[in-house]
Parts: sequence; structure tokens; C-alpha cells
Amino acid sequence: MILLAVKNLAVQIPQQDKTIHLLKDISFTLKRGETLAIIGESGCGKSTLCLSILGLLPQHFQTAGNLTFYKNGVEIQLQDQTDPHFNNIRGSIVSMVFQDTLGSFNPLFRCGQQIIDVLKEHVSGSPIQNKQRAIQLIQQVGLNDAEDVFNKYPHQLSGGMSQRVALALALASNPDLLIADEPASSLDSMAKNQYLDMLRELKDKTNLALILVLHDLNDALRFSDSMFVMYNGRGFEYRKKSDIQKTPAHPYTRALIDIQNSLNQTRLPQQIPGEVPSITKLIPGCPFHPRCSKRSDICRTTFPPPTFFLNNHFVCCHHYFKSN
Amino acid sequence: MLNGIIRRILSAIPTLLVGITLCFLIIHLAPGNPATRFLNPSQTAATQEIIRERFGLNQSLPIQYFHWLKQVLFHFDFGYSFYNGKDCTEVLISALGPTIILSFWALVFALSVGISLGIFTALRADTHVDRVINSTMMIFLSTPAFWLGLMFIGLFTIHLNWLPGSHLHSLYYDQLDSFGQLLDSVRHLILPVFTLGLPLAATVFKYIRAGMIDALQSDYTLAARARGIRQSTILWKYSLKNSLLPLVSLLGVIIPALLSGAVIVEVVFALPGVGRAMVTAVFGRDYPILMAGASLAFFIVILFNIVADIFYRILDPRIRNSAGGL
Ligand code: SF4
Repeated sequence: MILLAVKNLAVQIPQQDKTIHLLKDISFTLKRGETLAIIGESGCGKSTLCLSILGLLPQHFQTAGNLTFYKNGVEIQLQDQTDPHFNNIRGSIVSMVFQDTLGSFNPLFRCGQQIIDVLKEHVSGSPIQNKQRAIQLIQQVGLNDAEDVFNKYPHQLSGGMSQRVALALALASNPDLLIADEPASSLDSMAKNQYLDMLRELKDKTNLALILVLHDLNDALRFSDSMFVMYNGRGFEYRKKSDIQKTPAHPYTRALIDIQNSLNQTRLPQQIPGEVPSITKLIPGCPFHPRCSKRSDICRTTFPPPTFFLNNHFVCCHHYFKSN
Repeated sequence: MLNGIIRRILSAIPTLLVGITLCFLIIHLAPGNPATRFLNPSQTAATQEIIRERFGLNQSLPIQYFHWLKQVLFHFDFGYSFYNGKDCTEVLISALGPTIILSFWALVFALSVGISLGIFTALRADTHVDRVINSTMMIFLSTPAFWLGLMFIGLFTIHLNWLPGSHLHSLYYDQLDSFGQLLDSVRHLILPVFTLGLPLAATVFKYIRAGMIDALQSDYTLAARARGIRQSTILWKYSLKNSLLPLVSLLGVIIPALLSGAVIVEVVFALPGVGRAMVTAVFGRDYPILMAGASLAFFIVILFNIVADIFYRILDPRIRNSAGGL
């Protein structure tokens, strides 16, 4: 069952002399219980994409395209960021855990109080019920001494705890979709894996859909059902994880996977040659062409239109790798 | 926490002592001699010497100082005015009434105007309304109180004749009924309170506006919105508390500003408060009154600094729980 359909989403900042395109032509669909990993180097527009799904982009950003949420057979269409319907969506349908979890707490209120504030907004219950529910949530994210955590101020939390409490906060409103921007990226790999495992368990229990913004391809391959590879504000490849694992179709995806493999084999870390282009620079043709080993003349002039597969999956490349 | 408060109070005592000592020295080192105010052509040098002796001014400075300190510390006796022989404590207490009334209402005015305009403009940051209010407030912030007071008197008292420009009451105050008396007092207070309160309101405004804009643009506000917390909660609960925090520490600055402002306003508006008593004492070299007033001012400033500290620590858990905090 489809939960969210994003169609031709574009985000731009109009400036006096030019327009900066942060996102161009982003489309994907997300089913209930599905985990979508968004992959890309920093600055490719991942965070902008997350915020635009929540309607939280700054006011001077312009958007085009469609977001449609489906809940209880009702279709909620959102046209632009100022759409008042976003107020009914935030929290109740989609919630988010930010990368800087500590910064996402109000420093002057106890963690428990902040969870209760979310509960008050979305779940009707007596103060005692709310407190019980808050403690339950803290336990649910794998923190043992829930009562203690409830009474703590954010600055008293350790890194790992703050990740989990932030998750509890995001889950308090009982959303259908959770967006996690670089989840647990500040933790060491063991703690991070534990966190992601817990997230997967939670998801399986509650049929929650997840959008994970990741820069570690390994994590994406382990924890996602489908992957959306972004570059320079565009979607390059959107396919099932297993397909990408077998045959990455886009040269960029392939390059990322090659690097990952070299890392896994503890060879010297490699890099895709060339630089990540700044989002403010307009690159004619395929934005990856300065770094691409498969480029031809057409790549310099024409952006490759998407080639569609099943389920709206696609790849944008003139010379993509075809699976046999 | 209690330990910390006691420590904070104890550490204030040396500050108070150093301040008062410096004040004593400065007053006595300033040129001029209290005895000269009683000078007349028929006076001999011997009479002058008698006056100096009576005031204890013939003794060395350290002896004068320790004598004064002893009287204050052990008998709470600030001495008697050189000018009219009245008990300094009594003089100050009777002058305190108008100063407290003036400062209190100026503070209420400054806080209410500053906070509400600060929030109002923070919500409209960078619009025309914001710019107009912001620049107006900055003008008040940089205007000297005596000039503002004179302008008010010029406009509202002399030119428009709307409000009285001096004293606490009218001459016919006693003949009014109680409502009339209240009205009369209020009318007399309006201009002084505005003069003292407007620059303070501008200070408060500046802090609240900046704090509120900061809070509204912070990551935690974005995150709260992402969780679906409604705008009114974000505004009145989350952001307001965060933007009021700097104001609490500002309290330690506001109170001295009020006191020094009150001196000028009392002189401009001829109000019988501590400020005016002090100015009169300065011109008459009335050392006991000056020292009593200065000690009181030091005490109030230090007291409010401590109060501000304590409040700040109560409100901000990050400081409350940090090691070395209160
Ligand atoms: S379109 Fe051309 S330049 Fe772009 S990825 Fe494909 S082959 Fe490379």
C-alpha cells in the first residue's frame, strides 16, 4: 500500500541575478513498511529533500511538483511548502530525526516534558497516561532506566542516549513515516549498527515506513529495501536494493560501490576522481560527466532522460549498465 | 545549590567593601571642604577649625574611614548630615519612596513594552514594521535621559500643557478626594516614568527581539515543528523561555541603569528621591549623606547581581548542573 508519492519535486532559491536549483525532478514512491535509503555525497540535496517532505523549507525557497500522502484511503495532496495541510501531516503522518540530535532538543526542558508535549499534540490522554506512554517510548528505543532518562535535561544525555531519545520524540506522535537524517552518524560503528538494528525491529513491529539518509553505502545495502541515489540535486538511480547490489546501473552508483568494496577489503580508500560539484553551479548535460568514465559527447550537452523500470524505478544515464 | 548561593553571597562582601572604600576615598579626595559652606565674612580661621573638628575632618583619612566603617558595621549608624544635622538613614529612607515608585513603574513599563514589542517584531523580522520599530527603539536606546526628559517637558508640559513636568503632586493635592489624588499622582509620574523607562525598554527590546529570532531559527524549533508541535506552543513555551533567559542576566545591568537614570530624572523633574538627595549632597560636600547613598547603591547593585545569578541558574539547567556552577 502506497504511503507517499513524490512527483517531479523541484526546489529552487530565486536570487536577483540567477536561480539556484537545489532539487530537480525528484520522483519516488514509498510503501508502508518500506525502507528507502537516500544516498549521495554531502551537498547533493538530501537534507533539502527531507525538509521539503515535511514542508519545513525556509520561506524564500520555491517548490514545484507534487507530494501526495495516502492515509486511511484519503489522498492528501500538497502543492507547496506553505500548504496548511502540512500542519496535519507533520508528526501525525511523518516525523523526523535530525542529524544533530542534541541540537534538536530544547535545552531548557526535560526530555520527558518534550516527549509529553508531542503526545499532547497528537494523542489525547490524561497527564498520567501521557507520562506512562512517554516512559514506554523511552523503553521502546532501548533505554533501560526510562524514569531516569525522563527526568534528564538534554545536555545530560550521552551521544548514544540522545540518538535514542530523539527517536522516542519522533515516534511519540505515532507517525507512518519516519525520516532519519544520517542516523547515528556520530556513533562508532558498533553502536551505530545496534541503533540501526533497533530501528529495523521497531519498523517491522509497527509497519513504519523509513527514509534513511545515509552516506555509508554499506548501511544502505544492509538496511534498506530500495535506494535513491542522488547527485547534484537530481535522482540518478532509483531501484530495489537487491537490483542495485547485483548490477548498479548508473556509473555513479557503480563508482560508489567500487569504493565501498575497496574499503571493505581494507585497501587504500579511493575516491571518485574529480570534485563534487557545488549545487550553485549549473552544469550542462549530465552533471556527472566531468567525473564519468563512460561519458560520450551527448553527455556534455543533454541531460539523460530517465529510463523507467517497474514500480516507477528509473535510472538517468545515456549509457547505463544493463542487467543481463 | 544552597551552598553555591551562600558562597556567592560571601564572595560579594569583599566587592562591597572595596567599592565603598574607593567611594570614600574619591569623595574625600575631591577638592572642596564641607566647612566652607558655612563661610561668611565675619568668620575667623578659628571658627572654621572648630567646624572642621566638629565634623571630624581634622583627623587623618584612615582614622575617619575606620571610624565611619565601625559606626556603620557595628551600629548601623551612617552619621548625620553636615548640612541640616538629620540622621542620614532617615533622610535616605524618606527619599527612597519616590525613587522606588519611579523605578518600579519604569521597570514595569520597560519590561512590558520591551518584551511585547520584541516578540512582535521578531515574528515580523525584516518587514517594514520591524524596521520602523527597531530604529525607533535604537533612537531611544542612544538618547541621554536628561535630554529626553527636557524634550518631554518642553512638548507635553510647556507646549501642549497636557502633563505636569515637576514634583510628585500638585500644590492643591491635599484638597482633592482620594480618586483625584490618585489621578494627580499618576499624571505627575507619567513623564518621569517614560523618561526613565524608554531607554530601558529599548534595551529589553533589543535582547528579546534577538533572543526570539535566534530561538525561532534554531534547530530545536525546526525539530519541534517536524514533530508537529503547534506554532503557539513553539512560540509561547519554547522560544519565549529561551529568549527571556538573557534578560534575567540583564537584570544585574538594568538595576544599576535604573538607579543612575533615576538620579538624572529626579533632578530634571524635581522629584524628592534618593538621586536628588545625592546630587544636593554632592554640591554641598555633605559627606555622610553621600557615603550613605553610595553604600545603598552598591548594596542594591550587588544584591540584584546575586538575584540575577540565582534566577539564571534556576532557569537554565545547563548551568545549574554544571560543575562549578551555583
Ligand atoms: S549520462 Fe554520460 S556522463 Fe552521465 S553518467 Fe551516464 S555516461 Fe556518465
